[in-house]
Amino acid sequence: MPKGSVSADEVSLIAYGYDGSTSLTGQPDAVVHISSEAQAQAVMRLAQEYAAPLFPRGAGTGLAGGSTPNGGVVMDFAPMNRVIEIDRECLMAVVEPGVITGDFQTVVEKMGLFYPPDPASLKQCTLGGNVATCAGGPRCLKYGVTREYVRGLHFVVPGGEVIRDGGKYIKSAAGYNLSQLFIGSEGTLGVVTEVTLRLIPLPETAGTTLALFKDLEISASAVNGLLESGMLPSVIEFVDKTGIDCVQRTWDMGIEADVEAMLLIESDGYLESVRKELVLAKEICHRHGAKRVELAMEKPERDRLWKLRRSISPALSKLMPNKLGEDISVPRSEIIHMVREIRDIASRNDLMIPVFGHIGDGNLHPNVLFDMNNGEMMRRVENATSELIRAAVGVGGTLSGEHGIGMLKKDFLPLAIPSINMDYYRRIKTLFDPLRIMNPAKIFDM
Amino acid sequence: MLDRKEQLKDIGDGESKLDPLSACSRCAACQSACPSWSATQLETRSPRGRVQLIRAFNDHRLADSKELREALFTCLDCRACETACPNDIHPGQLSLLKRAEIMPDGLPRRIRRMLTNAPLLHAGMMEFGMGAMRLLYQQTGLRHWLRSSGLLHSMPKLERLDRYLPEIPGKPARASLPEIVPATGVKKGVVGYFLGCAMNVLFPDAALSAVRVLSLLGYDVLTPRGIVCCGAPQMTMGEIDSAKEMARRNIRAFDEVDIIVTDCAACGAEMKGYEHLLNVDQALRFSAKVRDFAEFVEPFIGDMEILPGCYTWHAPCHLAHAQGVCDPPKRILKKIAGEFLELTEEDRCCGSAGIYWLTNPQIADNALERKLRFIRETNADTIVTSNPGCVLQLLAGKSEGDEWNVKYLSEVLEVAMQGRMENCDSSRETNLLLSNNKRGVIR
Ligand SMILES: Cc1cc2nc3c(=O)[nH]c(=O)nc-3n(C[C@H](O)[C@H](O)[C@H](O)COP(=O)(O)OP(=O)(O)OC[C@H]3O[C@@H](n4cnc5c(N)ncnc54)[C@H](O)[C@@H]3O)c2cc1C
Ligand code: SF4
Ligand code: SF4
Repeated sequence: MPKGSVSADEVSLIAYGYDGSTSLTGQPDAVVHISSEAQAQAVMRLAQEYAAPLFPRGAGTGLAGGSTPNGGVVMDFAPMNRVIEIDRECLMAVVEPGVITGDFQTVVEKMGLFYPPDPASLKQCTLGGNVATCAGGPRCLKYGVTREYVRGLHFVVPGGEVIRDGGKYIKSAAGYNLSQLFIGSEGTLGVVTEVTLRLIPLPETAGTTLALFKDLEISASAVNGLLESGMLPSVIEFVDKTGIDCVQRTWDMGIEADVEAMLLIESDGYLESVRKELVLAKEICHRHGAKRVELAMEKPERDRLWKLRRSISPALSKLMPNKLGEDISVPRSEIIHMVREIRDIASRNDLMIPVFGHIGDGNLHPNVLFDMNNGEMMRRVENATSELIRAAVGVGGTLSGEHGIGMLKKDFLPLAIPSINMDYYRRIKTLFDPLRIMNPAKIFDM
Repeated sequence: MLDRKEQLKDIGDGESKLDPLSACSRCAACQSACPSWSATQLETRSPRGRVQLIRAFNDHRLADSKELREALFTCLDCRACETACPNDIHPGQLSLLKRAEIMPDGLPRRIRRMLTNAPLLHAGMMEFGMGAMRLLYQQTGLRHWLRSSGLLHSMPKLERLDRYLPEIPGKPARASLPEIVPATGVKKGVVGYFLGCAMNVLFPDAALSAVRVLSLLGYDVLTPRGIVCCGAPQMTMGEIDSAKEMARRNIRAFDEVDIIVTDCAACGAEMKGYEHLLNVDQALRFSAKVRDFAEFVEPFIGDMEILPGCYTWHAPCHLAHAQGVCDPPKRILKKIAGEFLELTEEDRCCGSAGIYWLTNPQIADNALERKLRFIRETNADTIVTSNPGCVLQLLAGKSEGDEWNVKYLSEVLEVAMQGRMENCDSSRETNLLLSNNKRGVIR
């Protein structure tokens, strides 16, 4: 281990004890700053020998407490941040896990290439973290989530062996696809040390449509109208009335009081086709009874239309000290049903639960607002959360679309996953990690 | 959610009911903006990390330690995190205040305080010191000898100091600046001019340019005798009481004017912050009067002489992030520059940060390299900025192949204005005034 790569002082132990979830905090016994695959192997070998628990960490922006330690050793992948190769001919890139997602996108976009997955945290999260949580974002409606872009992985398993899977080829029908098993495993099977990512050509331009509706139902029928029209928007985002009100309490965005729902629709591609799609989107929204529709092609105007959607998170933090961002994923046909259900749950539990999210792919973020210091409120929050998840599972959905389970939601996982599946999870875990040292007590208990 | 004032006031107050730092959602949106994080990739060198450490300290989960101080003292106070934070948290300022709180008040600290306070409170003393340095170090050939003998290489800190130290001008600005410089032409009003320490002794030409521009715009310019250092150096060292004393003196000095203009971004930020530092009505009124040079003059800039050459703008942190003044200097430059070239990451810290370049060379150099890379990419021949620290830093980083120069906004603006004046009427009046009044009216 090079000098300075292990920290065990009080200050470091506190600084590596949390992630982007507001309520989960732990403390490790040591932090190892990893800067090469060989170092990761050495740590994994030692940990196996001493049965020391390991907690992989990218940038610690996870929202489910996935990287939070409980004793043991944090493996910090932030220093391992080289873009190893961008292969134009194959449209592939090879990167280390600590590369910041947004930095990577900037690099490839300068070359006219495109890496679409766009978690809202892209300026700060790592590609390794994205792989471990199968991160998504608004653009995934058209382009798919992280999973769709991973073509190969280096994966170090407890004991220090490296599994090298996949490569710079698009298709493979040879053997089990281990990469796909590791994606979304949240550091419970081993650690990612290298990722091969598929790239696509960068679209020429993009445009935005904002549509406001006086009725929830109508907004959902407009979404169906859009998706049945033959075009595929890159993004369809949704904000409900509570969400709009929350933002407007802090910043007046000029949205009328009778608006019940807002849709943001993005098209990208060649200029002509983007223009055509915007006009079509406008027509469809109007046909489905939109109250007001605005179009924008230029960056400042598009930013203006996005302003409300982007202001939601900070606006919520101004209303209440804590928020629990749920991440349910439901069949698109059930969205309206789900949003109504969420309203009922909010009023039943006397809580504020604004809803926003990626309505185009059925992934919604109802955010339960609360104050952690209010014990009685915490009970209502717990109740509401479990009702929310039950409701999502009840309509044929699941409890996390993109944030992962981590610590935060593991108690609820059995609600969505049949027990036989859970049984196979445990067998797979035992196969890779017999001593249970990898990110223990995450996703599910053994 | 508490506003900024309460956030900064409540710091360290374990009793406060609502922990203002709890509004930090730990989202890390501040991280990529932070130069000390970029240089190290360490959570303990990131804004989020600093907020969480301060929080732990306040909650008695963390004791004072060498590592805690390192985490706080490696903050460059560039405030980029504060622009980036969606939740109105101020990690930079919180770190600064916490430094002051945890520094033990031993003898070494008192000696250092004494040594630094004296020249900062008495401009004459600083001028004397600089003059002595110029004579003994630069003019006797000592500098030349030290450089050529190779001795400097064996003393990295000293070598660094030498590399950063510019040729000290023969005369400080105060020596040629009367207390009042009258407006040129029709008088519009009176403004106060805050002459910062570094502007005074290291960049007197730029300071005089600023005064002449204000006069050319029709303002009587008052540079009071009673001003002292703005207090920023003391704040970065954790000497909050000294900084408060300086604030009080400056507030008194400018009692009579309604607008106070400064051409030093760091001084401007510090003085706009007096309201939080002192938290009294007088300070509130004072801070509301402070304007950055660009902020004040921009509305008056009409048609100008177009200057030949390619210009770009490096935005000082204490202008862009601490004061939120981003567009005015660029709008001015776009009006007067033959060609204006955008600088990538224009508002990212160059690594100067007071004496940070000396105390934390590794992180400072990392920030500087990044800045220089983008500067070189522009191919501009003049880098315009408005902060002495940035000028020193950029010049220290300039290497042999670099053909660009660094100028103050006031200097390039003056040239453009004088050029235009010469075409219409004469502005000799102001110049004359300044040169007639040569010997220190302000003493
Ligand atoms: C403001 C904000 C907005 C967000 N928006 C989105 C969004 O739109 N979409 C979305 O999907 N997520 C979003 N997130 C969540 C988060 O950014 C993602 O989950 C991201 O993928 C986490 O990356 P990270 O590098 O921070 O990983 P961490 O938080 O450090 O870790 C996350 C998980 O990955 C594991 N892990 C990390 N690195 C490795 C590795 N090298 N090998 C093995 N396991 C590893 C950890 O053990 C942990 O289980 C958001 C978060 C924030 C704070
Ligand atoms: S002020 Fe600058 S150096 Fe300090 S925490 Fe903020 S971004 Fe980092
Ligand atoms: S300081 Fe602001 S940007 Fe940084 S983690 Fe806290 S809330 Fe997020």
